[in-house]
Amino acid sequence: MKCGKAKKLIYDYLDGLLSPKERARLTEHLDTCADCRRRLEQTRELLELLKRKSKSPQELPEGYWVSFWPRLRDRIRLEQAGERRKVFLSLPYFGKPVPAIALGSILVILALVVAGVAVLKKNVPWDGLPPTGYPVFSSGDGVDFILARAVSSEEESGGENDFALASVGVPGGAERREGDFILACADCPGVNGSGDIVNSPFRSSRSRGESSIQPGGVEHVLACGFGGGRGERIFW
Amino acid sequence: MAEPAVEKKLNESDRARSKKSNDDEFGLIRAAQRGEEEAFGELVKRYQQKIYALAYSMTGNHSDADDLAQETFLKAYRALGRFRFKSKFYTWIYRIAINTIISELKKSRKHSHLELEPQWAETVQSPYLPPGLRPANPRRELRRAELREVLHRALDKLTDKHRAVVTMHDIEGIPQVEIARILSCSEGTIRSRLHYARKQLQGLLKVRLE
Repeated sequence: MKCGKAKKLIYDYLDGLLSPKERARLTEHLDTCADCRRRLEQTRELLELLKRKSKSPQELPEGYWVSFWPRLRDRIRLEQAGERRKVFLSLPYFGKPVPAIALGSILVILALVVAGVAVLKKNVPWDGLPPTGYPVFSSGDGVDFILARAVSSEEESGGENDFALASVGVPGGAERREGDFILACADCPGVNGSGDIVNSPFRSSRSRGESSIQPGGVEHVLACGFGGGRGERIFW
Repeated sequence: MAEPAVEKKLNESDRARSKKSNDDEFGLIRAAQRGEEEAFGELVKRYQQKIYALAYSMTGNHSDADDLAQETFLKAYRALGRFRFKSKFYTWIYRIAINTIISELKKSRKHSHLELEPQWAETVQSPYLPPGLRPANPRRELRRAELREVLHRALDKLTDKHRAVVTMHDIEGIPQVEIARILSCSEGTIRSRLHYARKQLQGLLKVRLE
């Protein structure tokens, strides 16, 4: 065996990876070659050095191994909590995550709007004749207001339905809008059997005649209330 | 004639122990995959020292080794659901570790190996040591201490992939076949990298080793 070949085999020899035949040939060469023996010794020393190289510092911090997992567990939990937050906050909002408080506020507002619409719809279910037996008419104090939209237009009623609703106590001081009329019907304590308002706070608030206000001549009840001006609301 | 029988019995006992340990590990991995935190904790406790040792051998300082060992297990936790038992857990976690370490070394290039058992040279030379604690051959010990220091620096000069192989094989004692699995390459590649790395180290340490 030549030195070049022996040199290549030295690592495998030290790693115990040579076949018995290769091993015997190398050993034979080493017996006669001082250079290769020196090379073998140097390689052996290198491997010894590597093997003995410290695998941990001479002194680890006290309790290091005991605390290794708890520290890791804390990081995992923190990361998981972060992930949950991230999922919650990752809803796109102009390309940026929405802060939790802002998002929460938006959701609350949306919920309130939806609930409010539902309540309004529930309380104003009528789209034809005015519902009878409304609690609004059960009060002996008289009706504060009934806000409704008449089927008949102002023209048809001769322009007589010009009421200023705010003056009869629309909650929140709502302004009169076009098409809003006060409903008078037979059940109203301030209205007689033919629908004429005979004793109602509306009377004083009307600027013109009441003949055009007809029971059933209403398209949509928007609101009504009673309580003799105390502002109590039955529904809204 | 009795010896082979004893040996056979011992081998069987080893195999039985190893099988039990593997079964335990399988159960732990399954439990951890179901989200049982403490099962994962048990796996961590089994491998923490090995992963730390690998990281320490590669970086040469405790702080980096600790960070990298923690990072390795954190990544393993995230990826555990994708572990399909196609390799040993040991191979899998080592793969994560070595990739994490190499990637971090590339990023930071902070692997300065400066924590070099600094007391060594002084200890060896100290005349104040009681005779029983003095090294039998101070000159030789001093030479070895110097060699270790030079070795640290020489290791630093290797490329990451060569250092990884030499660290896993020559320092950690992981067999070549296992390293090939960990690094997903052939045994021939590992052997070739190992030979190259050793030759480099010998070249760098030539004067010292002679």
